[in-house]
Amino acid sequence: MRLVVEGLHTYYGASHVLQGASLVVEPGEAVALLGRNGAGKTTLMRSIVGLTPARSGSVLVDGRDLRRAPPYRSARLGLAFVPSGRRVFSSLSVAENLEVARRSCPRRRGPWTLKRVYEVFPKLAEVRTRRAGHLSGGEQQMLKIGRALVTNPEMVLLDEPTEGLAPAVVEELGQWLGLLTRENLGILLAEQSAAFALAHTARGYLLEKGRMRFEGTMEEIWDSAELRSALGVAEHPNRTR
Amino acid sequence: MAVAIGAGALALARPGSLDTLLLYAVLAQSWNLIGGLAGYASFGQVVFFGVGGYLTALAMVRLGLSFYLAMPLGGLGAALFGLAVGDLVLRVRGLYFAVATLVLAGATKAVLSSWPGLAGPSGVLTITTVGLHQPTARPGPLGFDAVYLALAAVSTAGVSVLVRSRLGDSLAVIRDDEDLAGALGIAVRPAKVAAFSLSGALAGLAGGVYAFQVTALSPAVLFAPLLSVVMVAAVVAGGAGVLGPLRGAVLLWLLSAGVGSLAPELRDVLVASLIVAVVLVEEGR
Repeated sequence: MRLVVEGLHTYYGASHVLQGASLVVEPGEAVALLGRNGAGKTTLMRSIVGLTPARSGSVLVDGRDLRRAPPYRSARLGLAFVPSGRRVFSSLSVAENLEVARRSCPRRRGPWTLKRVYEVFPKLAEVRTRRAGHLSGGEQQMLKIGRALVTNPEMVLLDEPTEGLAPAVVEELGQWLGLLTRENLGILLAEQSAAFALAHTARGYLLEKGRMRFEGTMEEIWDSAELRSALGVAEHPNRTR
Repeated sequence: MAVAIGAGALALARPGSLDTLLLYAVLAQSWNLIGGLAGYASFGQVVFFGVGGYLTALAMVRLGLSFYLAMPLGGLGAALFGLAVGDLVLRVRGLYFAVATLVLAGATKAVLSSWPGLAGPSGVLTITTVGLHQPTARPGPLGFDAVYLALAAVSTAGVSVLVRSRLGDSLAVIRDDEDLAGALGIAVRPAKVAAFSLSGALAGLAGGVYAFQVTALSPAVLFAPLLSVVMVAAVVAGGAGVLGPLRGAVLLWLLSAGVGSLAPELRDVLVASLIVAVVLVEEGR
């Protein structure tokens, strides 16, 4: 799946949040969407999947424009959204959360079954009968990713996945992202924590006040003192001695 | 409250007096579909009761149809009405949806009251029950109990099938997190509109039976706001799911009858206050 976003303008009431944002994610590519809190990262993701429809511009998924389509269309085409925070169906059990997601995209076939999700995330299998609202932050993160995977997507949009996670879980999350990449899934990773994004993607965009301020490789970002200060990261960890 | 319930049980322990209880049960299941299962608390659910009641009466009076044909038509009409307006009112959630449905009920009542030629002046309509022109022989009290019982059974069976269906799954996740449900591939709007329309069918059928029972109809009778409140309170007090609304209907029926037998002139005021109290207690949990 190739995702091409062109000149999106999105408003929340009178507030002009996205002011012509554009980006491209090639099939199987991992791309970071960086920017401060309030830059419009979440709005951009919501506009891509149709939760907050953009007023103008286009969201092309393999050439098909989904800007005005309802959210379920993008999900059924294989574009999975993993929202930030504790967004699980809290009154349902872990197994029910996965089952509902699997059944919502019945035509999507692929390697991901509930069984495989439990193999990859054994901790989820242990708590499968528990209410999702009672899980720890790390378990909910696993569930959110597992829930995206059972729809057998071709691309996953992750909104602030490290938010509120313990450092050990953040490390695990990095391994899960590696797994998605090995499975040839495209990834768009919105992150405030630039260090995490830089470590797990090859290319990135910097969103500022609803516009793309910069687009380039991670090397270019590390090499520019100005960008590093905009992102609030120090020197490249491998170069500091 | 216990005294009122006890008095209610005594006053109502006689045959042919179950109509109100069974009516409440059907209405509670109707509200359960949209308010309980989908999580959209409608405060104007009586609109379906009124639309179904009017259509049933008009089909009997104008077309001379049998009640047993007119009532399903009334239910169908209420369902179509829900389909037509559902997409509009279901765009807003929470308190906004409550207000939207309240306005919908008020506006529909006003339109029916002033629609020229639809019914008599101020929307008054009477189903003839004597003479040669009566379309259907009017059943006695036990007959109405039986019709209401059948409706309550069909409603409850329908709800129990629905909660296990794919639509039921969709409603459960919409209630939890509507945005997320959409992002996962669930067609949110069609599911909500379907639930609203089905809930309309149940209330519309109940309205049809009620219309034939009271025969002298007016917008004030068929669009009584107290009925909307009864529907909300039954599910809030009894809980959602399959059997919760039935529990709630029994509770409300006992309360209202008990208060009625102790202090008839205060009945509406006391019932309304008790309902508010029940809702507040439940909300506080």
